Amino acid sequence: MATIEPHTNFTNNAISSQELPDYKLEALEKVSKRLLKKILTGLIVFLTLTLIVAAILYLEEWVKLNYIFVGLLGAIGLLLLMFIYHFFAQKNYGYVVREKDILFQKGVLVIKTTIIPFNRVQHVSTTQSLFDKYFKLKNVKVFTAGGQGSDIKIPGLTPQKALQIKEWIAHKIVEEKIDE
Amino acid sequence: MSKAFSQPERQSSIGIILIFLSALYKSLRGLWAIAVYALLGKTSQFNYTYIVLGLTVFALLILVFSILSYRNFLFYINYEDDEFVLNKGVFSSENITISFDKIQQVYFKRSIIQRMIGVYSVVIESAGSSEKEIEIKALSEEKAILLQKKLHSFISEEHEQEEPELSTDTSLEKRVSPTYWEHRLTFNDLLKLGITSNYFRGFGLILIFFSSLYNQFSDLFTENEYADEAANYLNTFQSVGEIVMVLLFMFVAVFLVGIVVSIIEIFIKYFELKLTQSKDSLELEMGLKTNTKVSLHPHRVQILRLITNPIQRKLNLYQLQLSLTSSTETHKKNRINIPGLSCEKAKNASRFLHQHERKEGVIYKPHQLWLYRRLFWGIVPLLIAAVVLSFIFDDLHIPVLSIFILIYVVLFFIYQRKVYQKMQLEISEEFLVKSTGLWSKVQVVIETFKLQSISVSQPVWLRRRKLMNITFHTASGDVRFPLVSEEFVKQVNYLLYKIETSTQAWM
Repeated sequence: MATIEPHTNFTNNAISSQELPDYKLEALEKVSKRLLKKILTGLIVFLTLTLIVAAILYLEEWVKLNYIFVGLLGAIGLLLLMFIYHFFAQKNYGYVVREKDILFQKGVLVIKTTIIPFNRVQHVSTTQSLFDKYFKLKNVKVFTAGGQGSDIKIPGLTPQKALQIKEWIAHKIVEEKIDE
Repeated sequence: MSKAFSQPERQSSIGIILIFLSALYKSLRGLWAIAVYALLGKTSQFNYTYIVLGLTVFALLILVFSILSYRNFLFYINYEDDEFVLNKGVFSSENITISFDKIQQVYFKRSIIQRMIGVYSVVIESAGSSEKEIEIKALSEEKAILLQKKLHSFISEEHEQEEPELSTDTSLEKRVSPTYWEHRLTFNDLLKLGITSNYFRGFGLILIFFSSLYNQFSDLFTENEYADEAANYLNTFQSVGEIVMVLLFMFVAVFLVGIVVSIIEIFIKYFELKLTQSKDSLELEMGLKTNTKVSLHPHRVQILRLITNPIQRKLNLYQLQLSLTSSTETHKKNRINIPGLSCEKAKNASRFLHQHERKEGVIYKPHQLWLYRRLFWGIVPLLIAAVVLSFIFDDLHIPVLSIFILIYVVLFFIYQRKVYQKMQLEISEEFLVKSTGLWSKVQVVIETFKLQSISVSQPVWLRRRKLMNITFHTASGDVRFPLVSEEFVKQVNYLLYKIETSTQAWM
């Protein structure tokens, strides 16, 4: 293990940190546009199911037409809200893979940026749901030893990109070990 | 060594039974409402053959799912990159890689069903919460032992590499030569601690006690009786003065009982507390009912809190609270309290637990908005309630009420202002120190290299003001600091730099 401080230009206080790379200035990479299509498809599938249920309820005369109508309006309103939410959520997803850490940003009303240094990564996994498979998307999850809030999950990546990120981090973990 | 598990492997084929049963159980648990309806409802209308047919189809589908799940569950050891790889999933799929040096422990688990079909669950545990571990649910005994051996051999290799480094590490640190010392709590200390501790805990315990008592006996009384009795009781008092006296008396009584309960609690928890420093750990022993014994190694302590209140400070009583990484051998609670330390001993202990000396740093305070928010939520709802109440009840003494409210507002304002003034975050070269609290003062100390990651969140309504909330994640909990200016970004950069250049083992 090296000595505690290999660099010399950071001898003293935090004021000298102006030379440090600034995460705020990084240009965020956006997730694939197909993520929006996936979300839309999910909502349409949900809407179709709701309509089928409504149709059955109507045809079997289990529930009065008025109630079905109100229920449907409510469901459509909810779907619309969900779509608006997901639209902005999808738009705000962004990530940057840097030399020594990975940065991920998300949120609609509260924009949350989480930065995980590679030397604190416990493991990385990729996941793909059924819809993801159809739209050729993958998620990358990066786990640390911290609580749930400290982990990140980047959705809507192309499979190549997901693999690339995963390999990069795995490579960095190994590299760091050799350095020691 | 042979390269076992270098090719992707499946679990024992008998494991399909296990997958099938657990999938069946899960889906039935989800469908129990329908099942109950079908059984109890208008069963006469249904044809039983349909039900049987439906169930058979359902079971077959789950069987197909189980077989696919079994076929897709593949794991292997990647010898080139030193990692364990797992692929799984039927509809959705997941690929997990975990490098050897992150594996904490590999152990077996067995449920009754696993015993019956003769397989083992192998759990591969990494640091962090339990949901992050990998479980291979059905391996034959032979394979399970082989896998465990294989992975353990890698882990021990890693540790062998680490150990000499660690020893050089300690020699490099300019640690003050360990002053061996001991800390014991005498009967007197315990008494002092009990008297000066936070009585609210005592109140809370009483409340919990009585509410559980009430729940147990509530069947014996009907509510009406209670209300009548209370009304009768209140009627016996003639004047307002008497009621005030009774309330005062009750308050004093509860206060005294609170003190007694606090003292008893402290005696039970910290009876015969003994803290001894040896060469490379602090040994702690305490407790009347359950004797706790822990050895505190510096690398396991992630967050250190120093707690005191004005009275305790006068008596030179400080409390250390240590948040540890949950150790692999004991999954017990990982917060340890050491009360009744003198200032000097508390300093000794933190000097031992920390790798560096603490130096002065840059101080940050939350934006004033934090105070305004507090004031708003503490005062405005109350005022609205008061206005509404005065409209509903005519016989309310508005002058008296407004005097009370005025006093409350003034006191609340002074209190919150003080709290705000005391709140700060200091960032120095190696430490992050957050101080809060007016009465009971808490200083949260984290070594920068023990941070796992940092989150910055900014609500859209604070974007214009350029304010943000910071969360520091450690392996034993998060520490937040609210409403700092965008200036703080450079500190985030600095802290990231500190983490990324650190080569010290954080655990």
